[in-house]
Order: sequence, then C-alpha cells, then structure tokens
Amino acid sequence: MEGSNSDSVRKPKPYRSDVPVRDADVDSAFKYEVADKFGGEGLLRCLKCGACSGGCPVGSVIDYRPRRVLGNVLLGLREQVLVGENLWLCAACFTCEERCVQEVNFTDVVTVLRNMASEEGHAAPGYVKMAKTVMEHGRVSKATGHVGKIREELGLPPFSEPDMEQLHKIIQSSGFLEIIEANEGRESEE
Amino acid sequence: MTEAEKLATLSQMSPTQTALVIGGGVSGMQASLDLADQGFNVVLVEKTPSIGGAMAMLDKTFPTLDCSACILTPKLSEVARHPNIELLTYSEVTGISGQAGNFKVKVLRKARKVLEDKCSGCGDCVEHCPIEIPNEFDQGLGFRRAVYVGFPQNTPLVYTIDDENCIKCEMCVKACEREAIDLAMKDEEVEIPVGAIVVATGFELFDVSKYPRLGYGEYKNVINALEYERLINAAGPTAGHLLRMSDGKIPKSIGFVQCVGARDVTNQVPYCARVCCMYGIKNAVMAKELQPDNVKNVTVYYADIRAYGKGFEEFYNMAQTRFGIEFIRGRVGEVAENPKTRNIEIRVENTETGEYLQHEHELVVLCPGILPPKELRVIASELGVDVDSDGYLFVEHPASNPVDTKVPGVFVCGCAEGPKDIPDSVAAGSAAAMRASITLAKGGEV
Repeated sequence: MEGSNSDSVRKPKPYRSDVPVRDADVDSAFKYEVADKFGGEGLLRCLKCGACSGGCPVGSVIDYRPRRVLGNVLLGLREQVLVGENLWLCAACFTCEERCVQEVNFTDVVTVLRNMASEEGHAAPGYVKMAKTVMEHGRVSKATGHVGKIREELGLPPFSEPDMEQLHKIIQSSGFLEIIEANEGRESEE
Repeated sequence: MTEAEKLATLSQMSPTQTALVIGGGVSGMQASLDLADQGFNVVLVEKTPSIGGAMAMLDKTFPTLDCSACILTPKLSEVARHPNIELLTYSEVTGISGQAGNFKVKVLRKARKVLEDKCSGCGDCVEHCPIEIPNEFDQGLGFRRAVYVGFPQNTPLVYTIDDENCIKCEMCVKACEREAIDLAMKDEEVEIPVGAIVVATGFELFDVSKYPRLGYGEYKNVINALEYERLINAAGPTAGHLLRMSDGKIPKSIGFVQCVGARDVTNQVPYCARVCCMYGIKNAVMAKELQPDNVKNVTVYYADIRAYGKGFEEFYNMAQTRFGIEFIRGRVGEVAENPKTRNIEIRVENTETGEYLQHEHELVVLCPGILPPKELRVIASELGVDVDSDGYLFVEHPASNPVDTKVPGVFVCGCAEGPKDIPDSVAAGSAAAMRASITLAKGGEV
C-alpha cells in the first residue's frame, strides 16, 4: 500500500540558513554569555521543538523563525546572530512565550541579544534613529502641530514639554550615550 | 453467595494468606492472577463497574497491531473465574492501617443497585430504561442507559445502575425476571485484613483543553486520541467506522498532533509520557489500514519520535515506507477552523527545513500525555508512601527495586509508578505479585 504522500518522506530538504557551519564561526561560550544575562536564563532550556515558530505572526508572512534564532545562539554563531537583521524582526508580541513549553521566554532572550548587538554597534538603523529622536526631543516621535490641534478639540491640555535636563542625566548615567556612539552613522544606512 | 455473605467472608480473611490489589487494569489483573496462581487469596478492588482499565478501551496495541480486546478478554475471564480472587468492582479503598502481614483495609462497596449473585447480564432491563446519557467508556461519544454495562465484555457481567441519573421509575425492576435489581441498596463498608498491598491505580489522561490554541472543545473536528480509539474500535459507538464529528464523513486527511501535555513545564508535565509517540504512530497506521482508499493523507506532527522499545523503531519505519505516513518535526503552534468546511488548519514549522506550514486536515487528533490519577495522592497518604514531584509513587530504587515502596508490604506496578506501556505494565504487575508473595510467605516479616 503506497500512500500519495510517501515521496516526500525521509528526504528532508536542506536547511535554508547558511550551511555548513564552520568551526571558525562557532563561539561555544556565546550561549552561556547570553544565558548569564538577565532575561536570557531560559535559553538553555530550549528543545528546538518549533512551537515558537509555529505561532509566530511575523514568521507567517516572512522567512523569520524564532527557533532558528535560538538555534543559532545555541550553536554559537555569534556573528550571524548579532550582525544579521533577523534579531530585529521580532515584533515582541509574546505569542512565542505563550506557546513555549519550556519557559524559554524568547522575547526576553531577544531583548538580551538586541542589547548585546547594540553595544557592539550592530543596532538596526530604525532603532538608532528612534534613540536619537528620544535624545533630541524626549519622545520616540516628534510632537506635531496636528496632534496638538486634536488635543485642543478634545478639550485635553497641551503636551507638557519633557524635562530634558533630567532625561540627559538618565541617559548619561545609564550608558545610553556609549551605545549611541557605538552605532554612530547607522541610522542613515536604512 | 449473597452480598452479605460475601462481606462477612471478606472481613474474616486470613491476613497472611491474602493480598490486596488496588486497581483492575491490565497491571493489577496480572498481579492478581500471579498471586492467586501461587495459592494466595487476592482481593481486587476496582472503582469502575468493570475491570480491564484503559486497555479495554483501546482498539489495537503497538507495535504488533494485535487486537487489544483479543489479548485482554481472556485475562478478564480468568480473573473473574479464579477461585482465589475476590473481585470487588464499583468499590473504593477508603482507609488503610496496620503493617506488613497485618493491614486493615477499609473498602467502600458503592451501591450498584443490582445484585451481583443474581444478575446474569442478559440486558433485558436496558431497553426499558428511559434515560440516555453519554457513555464514559466511549469517552462520551456513544450513549448508555442509567442501567448499563460500559462495554460488552464488562467483567463481572453484572449491570450497574447509575444513581445520579436514575429517575427511580422502576421499569427495570419490572423487566428483570431474576429479581436482581434492588433500588433500595445502600453503600456498604467492609474492613478486610490483608498481608500485602499492590497499588495499581493506573493513569489519567491529560486534559487537552488546557491548550486553548489547539482548539479542543472549540472545534468539532479536533478530538483526543482516546476518542479516536473508540471511533476505530469495532465495539465502539460507530462500530469501527472512522468518521469525523462535524458531518459524519470519512476524513480524507488526518493530522496527529504529538506531545500534547508531555514535556511541557508550563502545564506541570515536564516528563515524557513514553506511550504517545507509539500510540500516535499506531493510530496513524490504523487510519490507512481501515480506510486505504478514502484516507489519502496522514501526517504526524512530532517534537521527537521516541521509539525506544522492542520492534518500535521498525514499526516507525514501516509507518513511513509501507503506509506512506508523513512525519513532520515541529510542535504545532496553533490550529484554526475553516468555518465553511469545518476543516482544521494546522500551523507549524517544519524544523527540519525551516518552512512555515499551513496544512489543512479534515480531522485532527491530539495525542495527550498521561498523569497520575487524582486519587493516587489520597491512597499514598493512607499508605504512608511518598509521591514524587510529578505525582507518581516513589519506589525504593528505580533500577534495583522498581516495584517496592519504602513501606514494607506495599508494592506498586503499572502507571502508578510512572508512565508505562502495556508490556511494561504487565511485567511490573508480575514483579509486584512476586514481591508481595514473598512478604505473605514470610508471614509479614521483612
């Protein structure tokens, strides 16, 4: 009895990510470095079962798999993970955290990885741009006259100006400036 | 022997010659038979109206595809007819005291409302009963009356009246020529002296509705594996016709979702339930076996296939090569229903290729893991035996003393100790019987 779907059996297609993995690209301590950071603890519990990818709304439209990000971290592909754009595709919707049976907390792991990437000057251009807007205006986007008008119509008080002096103190003491410096010029790469 | 005489005999048992077996599944049955064949008396307590346990509900066994009932039924009769076995079905253990060689066990005989010594199992009462309710034995897919046997091989073949649903119309009383029905029957408790105890309380199926993303209870064409077993069972509610719930059609494409309630720390089941991979493959094979022309596509979505036993890996290979079953490695992310066709779309990543798949199936079967039964904790605390973090009984040593508990004279077999398949449960039943017989032969000395 031969079923109609037997041809595809036992012949898995090759991974679409870059194969083969070369020894020189592997940093075996990378996963521990990530797991040691706050939010990265769950990483080592990953079974690579794919439940995260199966529910990922980003993955349903583009070639992005949370499991592959985790897999690459566990493999130790430091460069590929931190430099690539994959890291910045997560929409932080937390569906994968909901689906995960091992409490890996993928969104938290991604936050750790993004921080690491940013410190090394690999932040995504859009994020650098946004960070600069915050530094300049105290907001993630500029306040426009249009919003002011709507607020007036609704009888809401006008936006209060953010306290830039306080903000700059926070930015300086939190190490935010160094991260922005490390990513200098990245915002125009978009 | 009337019920009163039976209870009087039980309370006068000689403890050094008698063992108690709690649970009448295949493991407890094996333990009872092995003890009884050595000449000891056995009191076998089972809480449902029939012995047989979960194995009686199954259609086939893996990896040989033997008919489950064909293996089990002879054992059922053997237990029922064995002169050394006192069968107490529809009964529960409510208290245990004493020590090895001299335990005192309190057993509650729930009122069955049918006299076991008079009922011949003819079933004349059934057609007169006006009440129809879902049959627990068929996982609620079929119906039974308020006076019922769960399945044709009910052992002992004695009917039971379900007090909760009975309306006391007494139609059955009038219909019974043997005057076997006594609606005034009351629960009774008896204290039985025994020398050794074998715990064989079995398992409970994981409740798959704890995964809302998999749609069980929300979509009609998502069922669990035990419901599927009843659907393909010739003695089941559809007489063995595989069909789906929404429209009664034979499903042309079936998806099996593995690891539902197993290896999942978020649902407090961090352990592998051991049996689901193999019963999943078996059920996939059975779909092709039963409907070779109609069922075109059978796909199993798995996290890891654990084909660890004798002949299991070969069975897994045969499922792929001979039956053409497709295996996709990836835990299912979520399912959705097509409101027009009521088909179920499975969303999953094929982790071997990295592809995101949206596969539509006409029927989806969730393969749940297994849990320790809720009552096990109560029995364990009565016995003074510890349970492990997963809720199963602790044994003295999992490798060298796998059926001894820390309490002398108390032994464990089957899934009460941890998830087991049928061969392992039977082996553990025999082992526990042997260990218990040593306690009895030494008069309770340890």
